[in-house]
Amino acid sequence: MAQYTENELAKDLENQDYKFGFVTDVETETIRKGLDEGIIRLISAKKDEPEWLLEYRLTAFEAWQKMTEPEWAHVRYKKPDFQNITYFAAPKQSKKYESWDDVDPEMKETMAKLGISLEEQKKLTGVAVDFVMDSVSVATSFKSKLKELGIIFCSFSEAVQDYPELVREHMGSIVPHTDNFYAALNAAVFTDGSFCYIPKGVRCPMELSTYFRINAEGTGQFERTLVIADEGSYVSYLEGCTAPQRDENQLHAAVVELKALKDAEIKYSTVQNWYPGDKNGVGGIFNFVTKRGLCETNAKISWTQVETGSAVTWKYPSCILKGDHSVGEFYSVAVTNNYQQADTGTKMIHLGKNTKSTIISKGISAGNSQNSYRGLVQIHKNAHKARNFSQCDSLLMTDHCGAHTFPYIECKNPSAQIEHEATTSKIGEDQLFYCKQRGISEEKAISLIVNGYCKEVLNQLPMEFAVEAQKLLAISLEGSVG
Amino acid sequence: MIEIKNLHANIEGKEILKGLTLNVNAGEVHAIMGPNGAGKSTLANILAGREEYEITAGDITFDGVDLLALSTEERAREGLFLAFQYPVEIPGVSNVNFLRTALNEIREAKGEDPITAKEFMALVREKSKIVELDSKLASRSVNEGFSGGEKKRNEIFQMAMLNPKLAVLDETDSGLDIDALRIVAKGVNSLKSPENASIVITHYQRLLDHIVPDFVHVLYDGKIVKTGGKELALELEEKGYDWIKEEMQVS
Amino acid sequence: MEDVLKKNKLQTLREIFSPTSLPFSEGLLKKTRSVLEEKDLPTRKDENWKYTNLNGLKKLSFDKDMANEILENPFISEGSNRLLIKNGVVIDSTKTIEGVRTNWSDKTLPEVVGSGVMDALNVLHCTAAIEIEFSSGGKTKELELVFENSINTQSFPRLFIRCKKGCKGTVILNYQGTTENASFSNVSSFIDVEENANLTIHKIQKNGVNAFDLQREYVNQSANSTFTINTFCLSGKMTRNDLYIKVKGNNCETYMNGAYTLKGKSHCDNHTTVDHEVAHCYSKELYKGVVDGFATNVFNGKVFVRKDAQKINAFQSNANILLSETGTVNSKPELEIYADDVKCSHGSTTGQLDDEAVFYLRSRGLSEKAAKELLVKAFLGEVLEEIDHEEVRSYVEGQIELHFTA
Repeated sequence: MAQYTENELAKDLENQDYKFGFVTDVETETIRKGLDEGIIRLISAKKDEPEWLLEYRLTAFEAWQKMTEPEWAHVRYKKPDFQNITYFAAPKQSKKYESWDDVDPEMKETMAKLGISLEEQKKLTGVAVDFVMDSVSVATSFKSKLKELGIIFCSFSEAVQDYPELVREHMGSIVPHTDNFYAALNAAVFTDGSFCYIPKGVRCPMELSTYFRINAEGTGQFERTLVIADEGSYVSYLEGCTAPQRDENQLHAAVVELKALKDAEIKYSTVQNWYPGDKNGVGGIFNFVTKRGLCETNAKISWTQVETGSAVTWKYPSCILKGDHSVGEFYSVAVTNNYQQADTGTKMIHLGKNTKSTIISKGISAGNSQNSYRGLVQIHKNAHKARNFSQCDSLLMTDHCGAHTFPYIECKNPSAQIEHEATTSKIGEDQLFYCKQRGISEEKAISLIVNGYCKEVLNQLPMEFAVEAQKLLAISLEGSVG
Repeated sequence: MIEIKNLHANIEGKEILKGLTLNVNAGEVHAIMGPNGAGKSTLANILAGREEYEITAGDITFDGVDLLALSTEERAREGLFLAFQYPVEIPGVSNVNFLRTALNEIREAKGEDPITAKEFMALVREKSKIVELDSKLASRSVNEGFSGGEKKRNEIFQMAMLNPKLAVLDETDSGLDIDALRIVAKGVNSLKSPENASIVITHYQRLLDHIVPDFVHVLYDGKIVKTGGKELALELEEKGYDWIKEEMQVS
Repeated sequence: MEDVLKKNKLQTLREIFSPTSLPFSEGLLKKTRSVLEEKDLPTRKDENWKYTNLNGLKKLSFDKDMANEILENPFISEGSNRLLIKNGVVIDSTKTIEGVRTNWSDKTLPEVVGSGVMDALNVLHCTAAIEIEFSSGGKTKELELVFENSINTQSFPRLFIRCKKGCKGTVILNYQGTTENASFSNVSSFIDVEENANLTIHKIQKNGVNAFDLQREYVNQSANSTFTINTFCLSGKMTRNDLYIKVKGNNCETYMNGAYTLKGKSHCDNHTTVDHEVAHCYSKELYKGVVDGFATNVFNGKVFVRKDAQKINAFQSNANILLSETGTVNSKPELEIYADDVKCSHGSTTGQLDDEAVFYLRSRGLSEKAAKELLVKAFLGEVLEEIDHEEVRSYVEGQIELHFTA
C-alpha cells in the first residue's frame, strides 16, 4: 500500500461522482420480464442445463413463493416488484471465447474503464479474472495456466457443463435453497457466476478475481459463486462490483458458497461498489446477498469486505466453524453516504472444538445514511474452548446520519470465551484541526483519518485491491462533513 | 513578519484577550510568558485559526496578508506552524504519509510539483536527525503510543520538515525531562535563520536557557503588560508572577 | 364466554386471573380490553422475546384457597419506612406513611399505561396501586416495599414513583418468595424524576423457584436529574425485567447496575433501554452475572441517541460467567445512534473462571468450591461496589453466599 500516494488520490478525487456510471453499448439478449415457471425453464434451456439443475431451480422457486421478504433489517426501501424484472440478460455472443482476442472490443473497453484491463493484468500482476456482465460470464483469463495445477476457475455455467459432479455435490450444500428469501430467489433464477476448485495440497499461485458488472436496464443480477478448497489447499479470491448510473433500483441477489476442507484456507475479498443512487437517494442497487463458508478441521476462511456502494445493502458473510481448530475471520469497512442504507455484519457459528473467530468491523456513516452492524456469535454445546473477539467501531460524519450496532451473542459452552466491544464516535475535531494546521485541506484530512481508522481492515486486502479500496473510501466520502 | 494589533477575543462569551499587540520581525525569537489563564494558549490557537474563538476586535497581518481572513490550512500554507501543547493521535495514519500529504498540499498551493519519493525520504532522514528521532517513529501512526517527549520531538521534526516562516511553540517544554528539553531546544535553534521567526510560549523560564529569546513579553489578563530582553525571564523566575500582578494593581 | 375454539394462549391464561377491583375509569378499562382483543402472548418470533419463551405459563394454575406462609422479617433496611404487599395486596393500608398512597377511594388512579400485552394485563387484573412521592417538605427519604409472594399468588401491583424537583429519594423494592409452588407476578412501574432530583431504586428479586416475575419500569428523567437503578435477580423460575428510561432533559446522569446468580432451571432476562432524547447527558450500565445448572440468562441493552442529542456519553457493559455445560448465555448489547457528536461504547464478555486463579487458590489450601465462590464474588464485586446503600449491599452479598451453600 505504501506506493500509493496521496497525490494519486487527489487526482482520483477530481472525478468525484460515481465513475463507473457508464453504459456499455453491446447488443444484449434479454428474455421477457417477469417470473414464473416458464421463465425458469427458459433460463435453464438457454443454458442447456442438465435435468437435475432444472429440478433444483423449480424446487427453489416453489419454496420462494411461500416465503416473505425479510423485514428485520434496519433498512427501509420500496420492495422490488419481482414481476417487473428481467431475469436473463446476456451480452450477445456468437460463440464462447476461445481466447482473449475473440472478446468484443466494446467489452474490452468496458473492462479497461473499470480498471481491469485483462490484457494488462495478464502481463503484469498475475491475477486471473473472470468477468461477469449482467448475467453471464464473458471472459476468464489465465485458464490454461491454472489448469496445469489442476485448478478449475471458470464461469458457473461452464462448470455445470464440464464438472457437473462437483457442482452437483457442493452447490446448495452451504446455502440451501430454503435458507432465506433472496437465496431461494437466486437458486431459482441464477444465470451465471464463478466456480473455483483448488485440488488437494495446491497453493493457488495467483489471486483469482471475479468482476461483476450490471449493464442492461431493468435487469436483476443473480449470480452464484462456489469456491471449493480441497484438503490443504489455499486460495485468495477477489470480487469487484460496479453498475451504471440509473434512476431505477436494480436488484442484485447473489449467493456465495465457500467450502474449506481439512487444513485448507480461503481468503475472500470484496470491494463492493455497486451504484449507490444519487445525492437524493434516487436509483441505486439493492444488494441482497447471502455469503457463507464452511470450515472443516483446521481450515480457515477469511472474509474481507469494503462496502461503499449500493442503495441498500443486506449482507452477512458468515463462517460455519464445523471442524475442530477451524478459524473464521471477518474484516469489514462499510461506508454509507447520502441516502444509502447498509445492514451488514457476519455470523460466526462455532460447532467444533477450539474454533476461533475474529470480527473487525468499521462503519462510517455520512450524509443522511443509516449504517448498521448486525452480527451473530453462536457457541454451540460442543464447541469447547471456542474463542471469539469482536470489535465494531462506528464513525459518524454528520448529524443527519445514523450508526447502529446489533450484536447477538449466544453461548452454550462454559469453556468458551467471547469478547465483544463496540464504540461509536464522531470524526475527531482535534485530529482535523491538527491536519489542517499542517496545511492539509479538510477533504484530504478526512480521507487520511478515515483510511487510518480502517487500516486494520485494509491491511487484509491484497495490494491492488487495497489501493482501489482507499480511493473508493475517499470518493465515497466526498463532501461528507456536515 | 507578523503584526498583531489590539486583539480582542472571546470564547463562549468570556473575554480572554483584551487588546493584545505584538510585532515580530524576521530573524527574531520572541518569548511570551505569563501565569496560568493569562491567554497564552488562546493566542496560539487564534494564530492557528481555531474556530471556537470569536475575534471581537483587532487585526493580524502576516507577511502583508490578513491572517484572520484565512482558513487554518491556508495559514499553514502561508508558512505558519503551531507546535501543539497536546499533539493529537491519529491512529492508522503513518507519520510519513501524514507529512508527505502536508508537504505536497503546501507545495501544490504554491504551484510547485509534488516531492518525489526519493527526495522525501532523504528529507525525512536529514530532519529526523535534528531532533534525534528514531527513524522507526516516522513509520508509526501519528503520535500514537508516543511518549510525551516523543510527541514534542515529533512536533519539532514536523516543523523541520515543513520549514515554516513563523513557528509558534505552545508550551513545548511542558512534560519534558532535561534531556528531551535539550534536544527539542537544539532542534528549534538549528532551524533558526534570518528569514524566519518564532514565538515561544512558556510558563517557565527553563526553556529560555536553551532557546535564547530576543524579546520577552509578559502576558497578563489578556494583554502584553511588560516587554524586555532575556533578563526579564530571569527576573520573572526569581520573583514569580505576583510581582507583575502587584505592579498592575498599583498602576 | 367466547367460543372455546377461538381462544388463544393469552385468553386461556387470563381465565385464571381475577379481574381488578380497583377504581379504574371505565374508559381506561375499555381501552385496555380492546388492546388485548387482537393480541396473544409474545412468542420467540418477536425480537424482544427472541430468547424468552412464555410457554411455561400454560401450566400455571392457582388454587383459590391460598395458604399463607409467613416470612420472618423479610425487610432489608432497618431505618426505612416500610410497606408490606402480600400476594399482591397492601397489608395494613390504614397505616399512613407520608408521601405514600395506597387507598384510591377518594382519588382518581393515574391513567398512564405501558405499551405491551403485559401492561394491559397489569391494568385489567391490578391488585394494588401504590403511589410514592418524595417532595421538598416531606420527611420520608427512604422507603422499602416488600412484595411477599407465597403459594398460588397472582400479583399485579402498579407503582407510581415521583421524585419532585430538587429532592432525593431511595426506594427498595424487595420481592420475596419462598415456596416451591407457582406464582405469577406482573408489575408495572411509572417513575418520574423531576428537575434536579436524585432517585435511587434498589430492586431485589428473590422469588420462589417456580415463580414467574414479569416487570416493567417506565422512567422519565427531567433536566439535571440523576437516576440509579440496581437490579438483583437472585432466584425465580422466570424473571423478566423491561427497563425503559427516557432521558428528556439536559445534563442528566443515569446509572443501571445489575447482578444475577442463576442456577437450576431459572431463566432471567433483563431488557434495558436508555433513550437519550436530548443533549449533554451521561449514562452508564453494568450488568454482571453467573449462570450455572440449566439456567439461561438473557441480556439485551439498548442505547438510543436521538437526532440532535449531541454530546452524549453512554457506556454499557455486560459480563457473564458460564459455569455449567448445560447453561446458556445470550447477550445482545445494542447501540442505535442518530447524532454525531457522541461517545458511546458497549462491551460484552462471556467466559469462565480463570483456571489459573482457581489453581492458585487451591494451592493455598482452598477447596475448589471455595476458590470458585471467592472468584465469583470478586467478579460480582464490581457491581456491588456501585451500591451506596450499606444494608442492601450486605443483604445481596449474603444472598450470593447462600446461592453457593444452598
